[in-house]
Amino acid sequence: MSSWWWYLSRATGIVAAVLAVASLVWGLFFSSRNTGNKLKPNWWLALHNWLGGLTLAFIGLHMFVSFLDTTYGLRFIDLFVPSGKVGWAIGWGVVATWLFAIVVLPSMARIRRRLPRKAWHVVHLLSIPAIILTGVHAYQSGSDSASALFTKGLALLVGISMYPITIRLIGLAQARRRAAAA
Amino acid sequence: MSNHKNPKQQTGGRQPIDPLLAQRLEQLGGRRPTGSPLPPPTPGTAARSDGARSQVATKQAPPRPAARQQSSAKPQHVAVISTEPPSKRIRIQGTHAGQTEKLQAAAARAAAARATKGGGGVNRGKAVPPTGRKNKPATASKIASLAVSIATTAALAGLFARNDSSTQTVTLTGGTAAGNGTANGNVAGTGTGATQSSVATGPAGATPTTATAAGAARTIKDGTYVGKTEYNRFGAVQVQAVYGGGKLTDVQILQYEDGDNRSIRINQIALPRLIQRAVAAQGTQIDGVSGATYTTRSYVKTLQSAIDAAKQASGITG
Repeated sequence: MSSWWWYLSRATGIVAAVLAVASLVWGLFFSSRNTGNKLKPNWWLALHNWLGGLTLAFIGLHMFVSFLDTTYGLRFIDLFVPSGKVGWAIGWGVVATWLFAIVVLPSMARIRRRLPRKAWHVVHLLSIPAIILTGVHAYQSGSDSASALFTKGLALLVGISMYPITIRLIGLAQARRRAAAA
Repeated sequence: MSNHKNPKQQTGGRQPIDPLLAQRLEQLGGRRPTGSPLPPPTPGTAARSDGARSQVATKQAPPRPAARQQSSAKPQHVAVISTEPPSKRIRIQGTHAGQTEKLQAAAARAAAARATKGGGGVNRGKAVPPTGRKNKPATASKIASLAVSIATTAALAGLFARNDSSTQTVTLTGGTAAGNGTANGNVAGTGTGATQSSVATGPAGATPTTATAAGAARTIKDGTYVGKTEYNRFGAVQVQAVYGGGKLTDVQILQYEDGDNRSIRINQIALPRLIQRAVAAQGTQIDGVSGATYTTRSYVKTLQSAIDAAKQASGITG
């Protein structure tokens, strides 16, 4: 059974990372108004919110299963407080978890409506360093980081993310240029 | 995140009244001299449904004879149709009961028209959820994403288990571990005959081979020094430190935890990293490898004993 905790820990971690990237991509398509005509913006927003929540749920599952896997020797506090004692490879994952929680939980608790738009935007941008830290965590502590499949999967996720990021940046640059011209 | 503003926020919850209609209402309210010409009636405003939250409509009375029109200076009739609660929904004034009933009927027709979308787009004719009930878009996609996530997790876990069982035959051969030891460093195979004492031995089990220069009395003599065997819950770890030119040039693994495939897999990743870090740090002041905590601890201890043995053999104290 001990091995199964290990397998599940790896699997939930990978799925959480993919969901985080999917949520980021959905959000970037939505914020750049690149959602097409077939589906309404509220569809994109609802699915983006859902994917964010699902990401947090799978991160929680990943933490829980890692805690159950006694091989790592993780204490309960190690799941929430990053420290050099268990190594920063796991610590980066803890930091990323907090960042995801800061981004996602206010949406679920409807705190977002009480925040100024700019503050909400800054809070939401934390999801980008959170995803980067997730990659660092996976690379440093992941049991699969040495495999070619991991490298290919990471490259695929980065490639998928770059497309909407580029669209969003171009849109921001155009808006800024229009504002400067006006 | 969303840049889409709620129509309610944009309009303050009420649709702006058409200027022409406002002018007409003002006239009907008697604020304009009765002799001034009235603008033409605005047909079609009774059933405007461009606002989702509220709607204002009016209906013109038929033209009357001039004598009678002068006697009726009071407001004719105004209908305000809204989707607000019933107490606020409809405000109808009419000069007689028949007109009021007609306006009420018009209001009911407009409400029925709003119940189904009459506009263009892919959702034409589809029922709209009643106001006040939370709309839940993308429900199917949400369920699908949840199902795919769970299925992927299960599939990955199964895949990992199958890969693990397929590597049951992994054995240590010829001084290197079968598998993907990628970083620098050697995994030298299980040292079945390894000693548990920290005696200094040469490459062939002899004493240190090469002495350093006389002036460098405080440098460690070249040679290979075997560390103590360290045990943890997963097995034993033992290394030997290789010194050349007074520096730690390599760390060779004599034993490591290889009781199960998982340990082998973890150590194939962890041990090369530990070796690399130890050589770079020229000692045991190294960061551990996450996921290989026990191996790291044992590795540091056995390497330290090997270094101590090297120092002792070289006459270095402290």
